[in-house]
Amino acid sequence: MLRTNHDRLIKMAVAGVIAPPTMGRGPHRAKASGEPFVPIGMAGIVYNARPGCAAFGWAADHLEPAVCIHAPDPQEDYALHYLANLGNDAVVVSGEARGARGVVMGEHARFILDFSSDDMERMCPGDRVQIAAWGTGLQLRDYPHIAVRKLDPRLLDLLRIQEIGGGVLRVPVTHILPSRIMGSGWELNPEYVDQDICSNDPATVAEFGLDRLRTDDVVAILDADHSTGRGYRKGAVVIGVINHGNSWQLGHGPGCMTILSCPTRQLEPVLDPDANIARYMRCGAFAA
Amino acid sequence: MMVATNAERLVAISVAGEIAAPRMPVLPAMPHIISREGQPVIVPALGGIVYNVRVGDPAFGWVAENVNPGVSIKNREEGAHVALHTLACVGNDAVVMSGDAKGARGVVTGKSGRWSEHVIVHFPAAVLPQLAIGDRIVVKALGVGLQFAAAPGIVTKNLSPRLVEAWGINGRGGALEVGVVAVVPPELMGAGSGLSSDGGVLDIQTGDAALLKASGLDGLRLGDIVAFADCDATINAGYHKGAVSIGVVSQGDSHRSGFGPGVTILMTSRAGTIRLVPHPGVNIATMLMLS
Repeated sequence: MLRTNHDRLIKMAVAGVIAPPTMGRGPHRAKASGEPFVPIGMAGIVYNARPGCAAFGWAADHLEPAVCIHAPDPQEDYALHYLANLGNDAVVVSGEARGARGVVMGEHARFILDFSSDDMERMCPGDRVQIAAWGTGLQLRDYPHIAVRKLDPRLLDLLRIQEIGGGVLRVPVTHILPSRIMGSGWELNPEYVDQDICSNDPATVAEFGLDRLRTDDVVAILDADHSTGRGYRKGAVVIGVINHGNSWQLGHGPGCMTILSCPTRQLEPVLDPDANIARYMRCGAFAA
Repeated sequence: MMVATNAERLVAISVAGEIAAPRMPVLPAMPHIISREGQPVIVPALGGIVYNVRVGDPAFGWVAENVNPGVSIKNREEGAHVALHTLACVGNDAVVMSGDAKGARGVVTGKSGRWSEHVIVHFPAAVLPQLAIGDRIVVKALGVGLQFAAAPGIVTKNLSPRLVEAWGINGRGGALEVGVVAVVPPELMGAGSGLSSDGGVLDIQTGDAALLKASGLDGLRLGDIVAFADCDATINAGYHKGAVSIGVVSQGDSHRSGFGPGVTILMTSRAGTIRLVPHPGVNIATMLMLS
């Protein structure tokens, strides 16, 4: 087990409400092909797709599986974004599903939470959900060169990371991707939200097997450094988690949340088709 | 031969804005920006009237963040702002409509990206001291919808007929030959990917000095014409193997990871039907005779 500062981290409550889907008066957006579409898949309660589901193939754009929450107050929403982490516990605190327990499985424009299908049937946009936020500031005591982002300390222990000496951590991943195919999100902080994988080019999708991605897969990005912001850096390695489904929009695609970043090759991805946090946590599409 | 366009069928229309005050960053550590080395930095942010940085000057080395040369304008009303930011094209005429410099004429030279979304306007040096933040400026927007008869597969944006004429683009066999200072490799395509290219910019990442130098990008000047390899900007901008996009360096370098000089996209071809011709020094300051 990796030694961390988890015993010095603060665990505190942050809260939001189940976010209703919203649209503008003219809701259409343009696919990369030029064809207009009505966006569906983001926010609200998605009844028939849960974390761990396929990232491709849905008639949806940026699918956020299961339940999305946000805080209507912008400052509270920033706190939600910067303090809550993958694997944190969530509980519904108002409405018919009061007391239902869930878990944070992704961070996009909103937070993506998994709950049981029975609990989702009793939920309504606007119901309050509280998260026991834990993990911001997490550090690896023996690997100070590797930055940790957006991880509940308990989830870190589930990632099947191997210590192989020389300051190297070996991490199972489903895909190994080059920095050059990363799109929307260069301008955002990895502590805040994800970055999309460009999926508009069919040859690139085929070359890297992008269409086999599932939400909550663990993936690697080579030659990317996300220790401060996001940037190209030769030799650097980022490990991420897929948070949302594919997109039709140019420069967009499945989203990748940063969880580990190392400026050198001391973060070593190893291919494993089962590397998925929903599988590790036995929730979402992998719930018993 | 010089490429023919549909310029005579394009509509010239007024869009307007006011000279925008500089604004400090909101994210992630107001008023600091966080550099790629993780250091908090306070430097002039983009916007306002910049007196001593002009199109044609170096894009690198300024103690500033993504500096906009000259004058930055926005419209306070959202719909009108989107129209200004979308319809104004590089090379369009701008006229000051209020204040001490009323009647002075300038030229649109570029735009800025997410969270600022300025239209950047060049004015002669003698005009700058007479301008004030809040002065109203009209742009005669002309260029959206521009097409090349010889290469209908190429999509243009932010590109005025005046710049096409001054550039001297040749068309042949469904493709265009376009002179560029340098080509940005896809690894260095940064902030702006996935965002609108009908306004906004696509940044050249500058964190890897060796790759920047090897690509001939370390000496870029504001106003230089550059290409992005494997970049499709038909709608938004993003990686697409074999595509090519061309733009003008509109903003200076950045301290932040993933950012760098901002490039306003001028044309793009998903099928790669733009043939790049090395043309050292090709710059809109010369082409548009900016004084």
